[in-house]
Amino acid sequence: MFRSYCGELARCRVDEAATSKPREDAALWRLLSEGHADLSWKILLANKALLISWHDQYFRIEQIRLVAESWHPEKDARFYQALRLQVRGDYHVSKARRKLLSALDDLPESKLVFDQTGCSAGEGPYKDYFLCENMPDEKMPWDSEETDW
Amino acid sequence: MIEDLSELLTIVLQADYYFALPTLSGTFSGVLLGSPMFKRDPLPDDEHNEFVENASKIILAAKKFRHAVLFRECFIHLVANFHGSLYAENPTALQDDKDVWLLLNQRVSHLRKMILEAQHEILMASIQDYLQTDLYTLVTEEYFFGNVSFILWGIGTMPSG
Repeated sequence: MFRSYCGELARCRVDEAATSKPREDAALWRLLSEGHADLSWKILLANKALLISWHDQYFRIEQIRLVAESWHPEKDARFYQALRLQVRGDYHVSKARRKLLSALDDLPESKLVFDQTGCSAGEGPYKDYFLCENMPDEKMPWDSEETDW
Repeated sequence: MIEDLSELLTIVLQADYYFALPTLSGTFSGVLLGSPMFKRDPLPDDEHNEFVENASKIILAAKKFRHAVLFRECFIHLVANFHGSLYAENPTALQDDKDVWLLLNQRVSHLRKMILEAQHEILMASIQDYLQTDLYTLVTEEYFFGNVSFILWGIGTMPSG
């Protein structure tokens, strides 16, 4: 029963009202976050399968072969990098293209600071990598107000 | 300037011993910037450098002396490589640190959400190319995670054959 309940909660985790209580229980909250990550992984995988099967019939995007190289949706950095270059000029075309462009804007970006490899997402050692993770300072696992510890 | 990984870890260890972690945290960015340990590994071209290889170790050190920039640097690599080779060295260390593990899961979900959004827009754009109509005039409701049913509806409206 616990498991099915967890699945239910993980599904509606986005819903703040449903999560205010479990958030207080650290262990449960961690479990739910794990479940949520798992769930979004599965949705992502299904969506990618859909994307690839669709392409065979309807797509007009050339770089799709990059996406079809692997079944791992988190290793498609090269594809999104290439796609962004392709659709960059399409800004005025239609609302769907504009939304596509804005969705693609953040993904291929690199947020690394110290890195000196000169490679961004989709290149060299990071050819399978998204480097756009940008965690805000206040989310760091310590109290940023504290000066002495 | 910090030359390599062992130097970094030794400094953190010593600062801990002399209760100098807060001081270290404030001054550490300068010695890290331009450090050769972030350079590209010259030999096999697509291999990670030493720093990235050990990100799971360094992130715990960075947490210890509360260095946000270094922490985020490791964090980016760990999110990008979730459950991948970077975790192989010490598979349980990150899961044992409850705070870091929770954050990792949350941010991985966030990354997946971003990819899903992009995939969704690709689908929308290509459906539109195919149907030659502006789908966004038909659908105003915000999609998310529930988008699959909408896509199936989209397929249903397609002319067959």
